[in-house]
Amino acid sequence: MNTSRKTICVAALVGCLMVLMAPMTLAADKKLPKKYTETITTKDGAKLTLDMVLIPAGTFTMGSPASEADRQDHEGPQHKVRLDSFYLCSTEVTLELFQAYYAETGTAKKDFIDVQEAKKNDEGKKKGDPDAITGPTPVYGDMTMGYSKKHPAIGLSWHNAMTVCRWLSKKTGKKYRLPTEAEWEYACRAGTTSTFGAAKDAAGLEDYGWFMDNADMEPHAVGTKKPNAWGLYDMQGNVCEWVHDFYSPTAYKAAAGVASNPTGPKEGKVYLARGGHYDAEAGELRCAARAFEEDWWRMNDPQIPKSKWWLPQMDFIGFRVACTIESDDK
Amino acid sequence: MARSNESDQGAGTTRRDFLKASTMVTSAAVAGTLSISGSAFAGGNGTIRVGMIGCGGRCTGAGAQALTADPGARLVAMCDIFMDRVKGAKNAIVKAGKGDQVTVDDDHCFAGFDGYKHVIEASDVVVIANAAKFHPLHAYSAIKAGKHVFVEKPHGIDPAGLKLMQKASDLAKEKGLCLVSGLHSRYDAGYAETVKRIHDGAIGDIVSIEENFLRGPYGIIDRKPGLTELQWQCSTQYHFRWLSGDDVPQSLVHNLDRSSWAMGNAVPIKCHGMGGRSSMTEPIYGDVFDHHSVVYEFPNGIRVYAFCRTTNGCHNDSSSTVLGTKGKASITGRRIWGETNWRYSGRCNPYQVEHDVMFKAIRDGKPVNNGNYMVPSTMITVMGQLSCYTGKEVTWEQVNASDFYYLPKAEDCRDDMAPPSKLAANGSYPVPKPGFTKLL
Repeated sequence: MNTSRKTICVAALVGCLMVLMAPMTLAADKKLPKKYTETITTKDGAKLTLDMVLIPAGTFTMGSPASEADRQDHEGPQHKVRLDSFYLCSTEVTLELFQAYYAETGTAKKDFIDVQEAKKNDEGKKKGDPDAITGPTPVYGDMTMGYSKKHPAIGLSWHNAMTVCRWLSKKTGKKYRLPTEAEWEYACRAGTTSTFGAAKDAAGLEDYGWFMDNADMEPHAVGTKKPNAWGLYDMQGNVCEWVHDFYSPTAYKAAAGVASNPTGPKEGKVYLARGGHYDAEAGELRCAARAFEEDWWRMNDPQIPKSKWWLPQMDFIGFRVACTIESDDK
Repeated sequence: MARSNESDQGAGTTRRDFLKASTMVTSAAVAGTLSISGSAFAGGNGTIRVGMIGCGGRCTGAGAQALTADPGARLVAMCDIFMDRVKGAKNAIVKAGKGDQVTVDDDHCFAGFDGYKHVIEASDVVVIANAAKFHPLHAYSAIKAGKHVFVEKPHGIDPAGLKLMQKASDLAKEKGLCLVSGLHSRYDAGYAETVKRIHDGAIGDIVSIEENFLRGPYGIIDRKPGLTELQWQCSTQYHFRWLSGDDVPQSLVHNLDRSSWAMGNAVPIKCHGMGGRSSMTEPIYGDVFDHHSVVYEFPNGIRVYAFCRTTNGCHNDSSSTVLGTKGKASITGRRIWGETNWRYSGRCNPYQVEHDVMFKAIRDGKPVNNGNYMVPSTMITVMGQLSCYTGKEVTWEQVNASDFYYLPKAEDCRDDMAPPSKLAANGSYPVPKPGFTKLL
């Protein structure tokens, strides 16, 4: 981890506030559109869209039962979680959108990121743009790793994914963010309680996701398998998806009673990335399976300090965005 | 890419994997001439004193990797052109969890062009990752003084420098010292397995190879007030050709090393290249080109097409694609498409393996010497660069016979000298003019 503890705490705090500020959903979901399309106009005038799906408020059982095959201890104990409604993108963020973000926010300034951020903010204030976003430093190599623009964005750090959310929020005036771990699992299960969610079993997974048995050793364009019951594509497989929460092996033990809109441990070293990926075995695509950043995810970054933005050559890590429902919409 | 459900947060698993990978990659490269200087640590577990020459991000990483490779390694001396970078690197290594192995005191932090001499004196092993202009001089000086060397790529920026690096390699063999190259592809188990399969005929005979390194510019470093022109150029060395040798040696050296490797360490007969500056023309981008393409002709009519660019907003690509009569291979993707499709599924940190191999070799008294490929692979890039600058075809014979070097010589650099590259009246640094510039 390169991010300083201070930064992590601030990020966590902002995250908590973001979720806490989301008002309780009463019986208001019915008034909300089941989905909407966000249109982003890029610097070059191109229009890119995000299909956002309403995830209804509800309560579900998070984690896996001790009897589940391939289960790991940190998936228990199972516990009830209650969530407000929110919107979740039907697909993983594509390279096309990610490249538009990079073109608008990227900085050639390699060193002294914090200094550069402060400076850019100062310049932004002068230009009447106090929230100017400082995006990634130049990628070492090629961020697409040779994949198409409809493939998922890959090889980026949690911090980079969070910055994309800030950029989207700034462009749209809405509150885009990463889903919390609980929101992610709830959306992945989409009302089911089985091991593999939409799929009956590991064999059935081939209809819903790209993994070791069918992916031919590479990630695929987003949204090319069947969606789950709530219209979400690739929740299982293709690329792991960063979520908001810090990883803790004991996080579920700490969640006593019915957790309401949990946002994970307040402090931690690494973040979670859920859903499994194209080269994972079926067991890693279970709704309850939890992956998190490991040291080797940065093994192709030979420098110290490690990049705050990039996980070189890691083509199995991506993300999808959520959007907080604001009270005016209800 | 490497994936697994198993956690390797524990050092044990990781290290075992690394050692396994190491053995496979380098068994052929380990030669066993022993001498007094080379075998001093054989069989022991005592302290090995490590010195860093260069204190940028890469040398800081390499220093930490050296300390990780051997619990008996201690960082004892460091140098850079700038003292603030020395201090910054020391702090970063401590922060990376290696504090117990850092014993550098203020008396062993050196700044300026001559700092390397003091670091060599204080060390048993030197880790060199600074401006490439100095790699041959610093490596040769260390080996002459009986020290083991890890040196980053490229291994020189001109024919005269590469001759000195060859001399360093020969002397290391004579003295039984390690000379380990930062051409990390050779230490990447996934690349090694891909190349082995190419050698075993998985794609038939090689017809041609396409090499790409297309990306954004090297990091831009603001010119801090108070820096002299020389200090400013040194602080942003990738943007000045007298320090970095420009982008064919800097970026394409990995690609062209892989090409040569895929063809059994072959060297080209000749090449022709072109290059220039299209977008990155402000003084902050120094005096290097921002795009190059080089076509190499190898024995048996095999062509290697090599491209690099450092420009924002353009198509990016980082790849080594080998086209054969029965299929194709992506060395960078660790994949083969042929009669049988294949992708490497292991995991290897080549940057750590380089150091694991070197320290094991030192402990075992069996020195590793990468001279057999590090000098030719860099020379392939230098001939390409010179062809781009001059606009002329350059032969292998010609570049090897040349004594060309960028002024001033590495050993003649002084902290109070004027840099050779000077801003012209039009406000930019002059660059070579293909068709007019004569270098060979």
